[in-house]
Amino acid sequence: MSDSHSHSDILLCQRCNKNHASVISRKEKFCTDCFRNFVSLKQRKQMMSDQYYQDIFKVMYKDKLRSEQDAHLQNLNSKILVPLSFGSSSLVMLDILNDTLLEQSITHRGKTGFTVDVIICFHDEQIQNQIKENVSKLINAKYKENNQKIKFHLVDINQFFDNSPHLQSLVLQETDFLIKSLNLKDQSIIEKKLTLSEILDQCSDRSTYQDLLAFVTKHAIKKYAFQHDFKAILWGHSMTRLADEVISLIVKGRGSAISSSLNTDDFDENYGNKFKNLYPLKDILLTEIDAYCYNSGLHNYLINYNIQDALLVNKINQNTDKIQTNSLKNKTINELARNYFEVIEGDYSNVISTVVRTGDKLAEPKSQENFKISKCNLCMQKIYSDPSQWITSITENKGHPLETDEEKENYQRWKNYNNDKLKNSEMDFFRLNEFVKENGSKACLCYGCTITLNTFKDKSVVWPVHDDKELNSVLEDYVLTDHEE
Amino acid sequence: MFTAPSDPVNVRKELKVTQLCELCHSRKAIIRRPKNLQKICKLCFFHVFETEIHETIVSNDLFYRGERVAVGASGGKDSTVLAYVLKLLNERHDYGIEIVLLSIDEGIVGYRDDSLATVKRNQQQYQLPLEIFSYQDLYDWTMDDIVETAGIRNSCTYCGVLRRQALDRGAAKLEIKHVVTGHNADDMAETVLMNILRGDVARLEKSTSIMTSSTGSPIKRSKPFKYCYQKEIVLYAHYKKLDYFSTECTYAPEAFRGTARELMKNFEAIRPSCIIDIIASGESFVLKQKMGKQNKKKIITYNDGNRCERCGYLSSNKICKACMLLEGLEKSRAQIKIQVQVPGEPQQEGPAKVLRTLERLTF
Repeated sequence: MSDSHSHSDILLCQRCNKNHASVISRKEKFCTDCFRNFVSLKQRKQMMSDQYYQDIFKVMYKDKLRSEQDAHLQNLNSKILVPLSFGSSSLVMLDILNDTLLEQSITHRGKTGFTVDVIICFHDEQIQNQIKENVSKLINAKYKENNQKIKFHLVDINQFFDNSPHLQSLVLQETDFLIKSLNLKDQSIIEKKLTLSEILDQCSDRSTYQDLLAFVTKHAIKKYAFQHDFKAILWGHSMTRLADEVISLIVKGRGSAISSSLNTDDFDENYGNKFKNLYPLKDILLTEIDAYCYNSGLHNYLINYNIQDALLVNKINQNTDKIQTNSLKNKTINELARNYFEVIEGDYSNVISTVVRTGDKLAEPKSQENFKISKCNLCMQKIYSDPSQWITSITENKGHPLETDEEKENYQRWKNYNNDKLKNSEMDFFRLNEFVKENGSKACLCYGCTITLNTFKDKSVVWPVHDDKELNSVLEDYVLTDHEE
Repeated sequence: MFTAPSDPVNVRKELKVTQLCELCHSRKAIIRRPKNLQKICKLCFFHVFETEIHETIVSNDLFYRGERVAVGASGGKDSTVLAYVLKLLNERHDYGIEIVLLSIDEGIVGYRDDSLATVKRNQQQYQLPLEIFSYQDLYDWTMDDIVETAGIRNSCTYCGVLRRQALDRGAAKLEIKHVVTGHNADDMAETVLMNILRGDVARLEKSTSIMTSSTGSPIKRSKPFKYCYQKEIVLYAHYKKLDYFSTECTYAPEAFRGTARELMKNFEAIRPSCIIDIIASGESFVLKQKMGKQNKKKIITYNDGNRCERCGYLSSNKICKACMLLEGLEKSRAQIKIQVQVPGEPQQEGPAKVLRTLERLTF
C-alpha cells in the first residue's frame, strides 16, 4: 500500500521495523502487512481453538486414526457456512479464510482442509442487484483462484412465512401478561398478513424491528446450515459487536440467553445438533477490522456500512462531517450500546474485552423451582422461569375503587365504548385477537419476547410454528457466480 | 367582573374515554407507568405503588413480627418515601415492626447538614425515632477532610465503604439487626450493568438479591424498592407532597459509573421498561463452574465470617477495606495538614459548602 508521506517524522512499523506504519492499534504501530498478519493470526487462533474446529480446518492426512480415504473424505466434508452481510467484519473474515485456503493449497499441493459456502440473506428486492454486482466483483478481484472452494448463495428471507407449514397467532393478555396461541390452519383468515415486511411494520420502534429482522435472518442461516450438513457457521462478529450483543441482551431482558448465544463449544440444540457456531473475530475490535478492511481494499465492497478510520495513520477524510442519521430516540438498543463502546474505547479501552469475557463466564441459568424448561414460541430460546408470573408478581393490576358518581358514570361510558368497539369492529385482527384470547391455549414466550410483544401495535403477532416440518421445509437459494451482472 | 370568553374554569368538561385511567377506567389518567406503559390516575398510582411494595415485602418475607428495623435515611427522595411508605404499610397491614430512622453524617458541609435537617423534620412528621452517626465520631474523618486529602476523584469509593460500615455499626449500637435502604430499581439495574462493564464476576450473581446477609454478620440489609422505578418514587413524593432534599451530592459520582448511568438513561429513553428488563436479566445470571488448570491454582478460600483484625468488622481479608482506606488516609494526613483542627470548634468550610455558595451567587 502506498501512503503519501509529507511528514518528516514518518512512523515505522514496530513489528518489522522496515515499513511505514499505517495503523496504530493497542498502542503499537503496524505496517499494512504486519497488521494483516496480526488480525489474521487472531482469527486463525480462534479457528484452532479446540479439536472439533482443528478437524475442520486442518488438512487431514492418513495417520493412526484415519485411512487415506477417511482423511480425504474428512477434508471434503469439512464444509463451513459464512454469513456475509457486506459489513466490514464478514468481509474481513472471508478474506482471511480465502488467504488460509490459498496458503493451504500452496503448502499442501492443491489440498485444502475445508470449503466455504457464503450465504447472503436479503429481504429487500432493491438491494439484490447491488449484492449480485458486489459478489461478481469480489469473485473476479479476490477469489478467482479459490473458485471451487468458495461458493456464494443468495437467500431471500421473505421465505420465512411462505416456507412455514403452520402459522400461529400469538396474543398477549395485558392483564396478566399471559400469552395465548392458536394454530392457524386455515391461512386464508390472515391472508394479507403473510409477508415479512407486513409483520415487521407492526413493530412500534426500530429496536424491535431490527431484532425481529435479525432473528429471521439468523433463523434462515441456521436452517440452511441444518439442511446442507455444514460443520460450523462462522459468524463475523467482532469483539465490539459481541460486547454490544451482551449488553443489548441484558437490556432487553434476555440475559438468560447470553451463555447460549456465545456458546462455541456445543452443537446448536435448536437445529438438530448438527453444527457449531464460531466467532473467529472475537478477539479483534471493530476499529481494527475497519482498518484491515480499508488497508486491504475491501471497503469497495461494503453495502450500507460506514467504515471508521480511528486507527488509520492517514485518515480517509472522505466525509469528515459524519452524517448523524439518527437522533437518540430513533436509535436501536444495539446502536446505543455500540455508541457507548465507541466512545468508551478511548478512555477505558479494556471495557469491550471485559464485557465479552464476562459474558463468556456466564452459564446456562438454573430453572425456577417447579418450572419445566421450555422453548420460546417466538425466538426458540430456552425459558427457565415463567415471565408472566414474574411480571404479575411485581405489578399490581387492580386500581383504586370507584368513589364518586362521576367516576361511576365514566366507568359506564368506558364499558359501553368497549362493547361498541367489539361489535362494530370490522378489523379482522381485533376479532381474531379476542378469539385467540378466548379459545387459544397458553403459549410459552421468553421474557424478552413477552416485552417485545407488549410493544407491538395490537399486542399480537402471526408467527411460524417452529417444528421439525418447518425446519425441514426446503429453503431455496440462488447460487451466484462471477458471471452475474 | 370580566371573564374571558374562553375561561374554562366553570365549564365541566367530559373526559374522553381514551383519557381515562387504564386501571379504574373512571378517573383521568395523569401518569404513564414506565414499567408497562399503562396510563393511570393519581389514586390508582398511589394504590399500585404501595401495593407493589407491600407485595415485595410479603413475598420475600422481609420482616417478622416484633422486628426492629432501621431505615437508612439520608433525607433524599428514596429514603423519605421509604420511611413514609413503611410506616404507612406497617399500620395498614399490621406488620408489627418497629421503625427507627438511622442517618449517617458523612461530614459534607453544605450538603449533608442540609439533608440531615430534612431527616430531622421527617422525624417530627412521621413521629419516628431518629439516630445520627457521624464519620467524625466513627472514624475521626469527615468526607470534606477525606476529599481534601485524597482528592475528589475517589470520593465515592471512600464514602461508599465507610457508609456501609457506619450503617452496620449504627444499627449494632441500636441493637437493630435489619437495615432497609431506599435502593430502587434504577440503582439495581445500574449495578447490574456496572458489574458487567467492570467484569466484577464476584458480584454478578448476587447483584440483584433483595436481601443480603452474611453468615458472620448479625445485620441483614434489604431493599423493598427493588422493583420501584425512580421516576415513580419521585412522582409519589411529589403527589404526596413529602418533604425531601433533592440536591445531588456535591462530590460528583465516579467517572466510570457516570458513563454507565448515562448509557442507562439513553436506554430508558427508547425503552422505558428496560430497567425492569435489566433486573430480569440480572436475576438469571449464573456463573460457569470453575474448571481448568488456571483456576485450580488460586482457589480462594473465602470465609464468610472473617473479622477485621483492627476494628472487628466483617471482612474477607485480614484487615477490612475501611481500615485499609483509613490507613492510607492517615499517612497522607500527617504530611499534608498544615492547620491544626481544634476539637470542639465548628467545622471548617468544605469544598461542598464553597460550591453551594457559588451556586447561589447571582448577578
